[in-house]
Amino acid sequence: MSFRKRGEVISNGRGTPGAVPGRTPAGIMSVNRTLPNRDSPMTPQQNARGITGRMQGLRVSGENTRAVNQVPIPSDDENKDDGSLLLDHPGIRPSHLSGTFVTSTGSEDIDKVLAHTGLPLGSSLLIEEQGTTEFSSILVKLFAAQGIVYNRLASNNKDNSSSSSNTHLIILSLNQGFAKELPGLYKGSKRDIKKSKISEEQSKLSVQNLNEKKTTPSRYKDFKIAWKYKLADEEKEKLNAKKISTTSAMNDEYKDYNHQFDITARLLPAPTSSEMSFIAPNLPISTILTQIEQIIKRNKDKLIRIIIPSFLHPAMYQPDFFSLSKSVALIHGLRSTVKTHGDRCVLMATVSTDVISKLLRVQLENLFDAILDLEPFPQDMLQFLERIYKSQPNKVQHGLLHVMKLPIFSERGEMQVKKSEWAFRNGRKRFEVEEWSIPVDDVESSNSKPTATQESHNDHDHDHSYEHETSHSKSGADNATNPKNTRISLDY
Amino acid sequence: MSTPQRQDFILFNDQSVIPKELNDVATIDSEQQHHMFLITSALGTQPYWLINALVETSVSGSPLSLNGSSINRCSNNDNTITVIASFIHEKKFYNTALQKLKVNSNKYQILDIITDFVMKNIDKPRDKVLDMLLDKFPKDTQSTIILEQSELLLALLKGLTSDELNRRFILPLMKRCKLLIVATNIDFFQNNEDEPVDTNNRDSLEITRFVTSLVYASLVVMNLRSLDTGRAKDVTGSLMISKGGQSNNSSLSVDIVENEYLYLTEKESTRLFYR
Amino acid sequence: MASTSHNPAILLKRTLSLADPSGFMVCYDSMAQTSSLLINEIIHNISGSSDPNITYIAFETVNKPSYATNFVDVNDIGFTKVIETVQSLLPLANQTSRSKNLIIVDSLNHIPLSHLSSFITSLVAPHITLLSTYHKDLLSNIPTHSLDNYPNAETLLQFMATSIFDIDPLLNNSTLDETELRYSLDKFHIPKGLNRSQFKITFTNRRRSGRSLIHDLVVDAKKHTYDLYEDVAEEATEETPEMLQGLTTFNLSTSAKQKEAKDQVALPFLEAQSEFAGGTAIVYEYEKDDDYDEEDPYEDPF
Repeated sequence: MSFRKRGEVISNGRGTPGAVPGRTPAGIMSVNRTLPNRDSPMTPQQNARGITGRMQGLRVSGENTRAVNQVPIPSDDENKDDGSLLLDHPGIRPSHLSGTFVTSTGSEDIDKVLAHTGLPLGSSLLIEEQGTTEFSSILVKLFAAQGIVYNRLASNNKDNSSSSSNTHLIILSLNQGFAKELPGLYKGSKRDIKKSKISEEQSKLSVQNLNEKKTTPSRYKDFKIAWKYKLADEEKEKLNAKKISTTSAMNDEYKDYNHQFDITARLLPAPTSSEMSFIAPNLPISTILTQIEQIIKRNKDKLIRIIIPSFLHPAMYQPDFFSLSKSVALIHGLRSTVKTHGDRCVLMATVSTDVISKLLRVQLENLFDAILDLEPFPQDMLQFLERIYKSQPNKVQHGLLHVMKLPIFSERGEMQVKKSEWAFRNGRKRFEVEEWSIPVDDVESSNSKPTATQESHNDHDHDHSYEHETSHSKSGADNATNPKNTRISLDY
Repeated sequence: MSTPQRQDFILFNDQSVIPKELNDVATIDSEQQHHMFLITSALGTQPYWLINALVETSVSGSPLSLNGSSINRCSNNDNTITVIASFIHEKKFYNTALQKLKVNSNKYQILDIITDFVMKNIDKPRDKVLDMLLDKFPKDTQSTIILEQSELLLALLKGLTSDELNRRFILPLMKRCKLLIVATNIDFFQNNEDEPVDTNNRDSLEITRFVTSLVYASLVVMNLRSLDTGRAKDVTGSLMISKGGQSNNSSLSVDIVENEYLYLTEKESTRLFYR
Repeated sequence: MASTSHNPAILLKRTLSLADPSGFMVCYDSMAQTSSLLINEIIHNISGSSDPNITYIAFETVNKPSYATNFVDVNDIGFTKVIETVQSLLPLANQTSRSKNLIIVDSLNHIPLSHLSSFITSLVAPHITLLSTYHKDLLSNIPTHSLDNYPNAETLLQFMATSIFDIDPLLNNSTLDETELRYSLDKFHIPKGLNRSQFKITFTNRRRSGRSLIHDLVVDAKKHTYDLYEDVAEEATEETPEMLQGLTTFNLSTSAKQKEAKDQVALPFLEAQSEFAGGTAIVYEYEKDDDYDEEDPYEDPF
């Protein structure tokens, strides 16, 4: 009997008698597993539980109470008032920069790029992508999965409260399969997975349980990585000691804030309609907006994450949607909705800039609070990077990430357009963003292959074209970018 | 380079942003004069601080937050009201900002024209929507109205043309007040090297026409843009003050001071300086 | 008549004071230099004459100009009633009044192309001058299919007008050139130094004789003087230290002493030139690492 199963049972308010006997042993078993690896495997559910009370006995007793009070609505009213949910919400924390409340995008690095350690409540994020790649779809799934994980934290956490969910997703898409495509939590290394597979066979029901248990070590690793990043940054800023202590304290306090996902795994069980609502984008705008408004009202006191995957994808959107009076009106309406519920609502959309005109793009960009533009590297650039990082294939970046707008700062008139300052890399367990610098080719000129990199920005000084086995005439210019151990950082 | 000297924000050669004469002319003459200022801005250089400074000027006589509190000019003690209406920012956005600047809240009014605008108006005839919008503004000919991103109406109201928007909204609004300050987003026209506006695309055509007509109608144009060289730590962008199409038509005796400032916006405060 | 045609400034003066009957005048203007100063010139020139009757038809102006006798706000009365209203304000054709009748239209851009011609013809009369503005840079609407073969507004006006003033800013003493100006205006980055009191006009005047005269003139709206435009742009300017000042944060200028020192430096190639008569040659010595390709004509150093 898994924790997940238990959570489901409770959230459905269908505590069957059969569940009770099975539960206690499961709980004990899991604790036995958990305790030795206190700083490693732990399910998010367990984490969440850890906040309220790590004592196993307490938890067990909680379970028992719950099993008795199948629908414990009354206690809910006592404990909660409107504001408290968002303070208790694992996925909401104050921005360390502005103090506004933010929620995670599901990718720690994107949270970092957004400068507020997340997306401020009441704001909207647009991910633009050039070319035929689908990195933005990864981000949108991470965003969705993170919302579901928050929700499930709540269902396992709040032992005696009826609101067994704290987050609701609204997906504007025709693709109902979206729910089944969400990445699962990262389970750890391959060996861990093998181990878990063995036990998986022992009991089918415990899959989820085990999978989730394995997540914690990686989260801890994560935590360490993040901490190191911060340390490095702060050394630069000469603001060390204070911030580190506060941020690490913050991280401790908000340890359920972000999770790590494995894009090859699936979030199981797939989210249900109580966790996410689908709205078809081919409805009239007013219907879409009214439905969203209704869902938000129905899910009182919950964090609402509105998601528009592949906005204006021609397969999903009729040609007339490309007229300003439809697409801009929809986004304007959503903007208004998100602002109206600014204390518990965020919006994320992705769009391929290839299919929309400049006018439409500008008009859409205007309506979002934050914009990130993904520019995947062309094939030859990737080949070049692969050659450079022959020994460290996991260092190959997949493209550039341009910041066009940052929430709060941009609308206050700060210039936040940062082109070619970041590069991204999508791995199985992490969407990484790091500072971009043209890598150095160590092969030197003994091998006279040109070693220029391609920077596909026209407005850029370092504009070289990379050629495979080409003329000597260009190698001179190319070598200019090739002094050994020089990192040309592209501060544009 | 040492920290450059802070410069005062002025638009006219009597060292003012909104000349006193503009208020006086409006009252004395039997034929009331109406004026328009235009703010053009782009994605990286949003006009938040400039709008705030203009509200401040309209309410208290000078942009204290921008020029530093050293110069304390006499306040406008007449009972004119400043109205802010934005198609992009919610009421709270400017409310918080102006409260922080300690602008007398009795003297300004923020209209909420964004909440549920689409939901309420999507299927209505555009004339009705424009009339409804117009009715939200007070009929006080001594008022100053600040209108942000009215060009969004071109997208939001199906089939609306620039001429129609001017005729049915902008010009009537201008007649309702002594000073209409229009802030408009000109992102669309940036980075269009060798790519003239597609005149076969109705939407591009209308937005180009609209912005052009605003330039013709305005006395002063304030353009906010980022540096051509990209992002800099110590400069946010440049503010260019230039003459609008009505600059030679106005009855004002003061002249516009054409100027280019650099500015730095940091932690919600902005400083102007020269290059 | 013929004598005036030899002096464009006088011809312009006559036209601006409406001395020669010129039924339909068009001012092509742009954001960079609007027609208002030129219209003010006309007002200035006719203000001496007895009691001019000036009717202002406003499509885009909200403020009644001080010189206007009548102000017709098209947005108040609607386009369909404009002609009717204006005609009611005008004296009848048979009244032999000495006063001048001027109708000013603040931009014909707002009249649909299909109505443009009829609008003009219904207002133009022997005793009336129609002075209208047309914005060159305000894009015209996409015409409907029925007007496929109809000329566009600009061509139409060009054809119908008796006098055309094509107004441009005077860029002589500005840092911009024409291309840069257009480039900035396309981005709506309105540069400084536009809409000045001095500006350039290209004045086209259709004579009764059938001739058409075109002149470039400079109008000074402050002094009310008109001069022939002289193109002084193509003057090669020598680099002076002042030009380099303020361009960058680097110090690019040279002091007199530095300049002197710089001039004294003997450049190596000068030396080589002086000895050239003595005969020089490129000596190529083949080394073992050299990869000499007989077939490659570009690699041959000789």
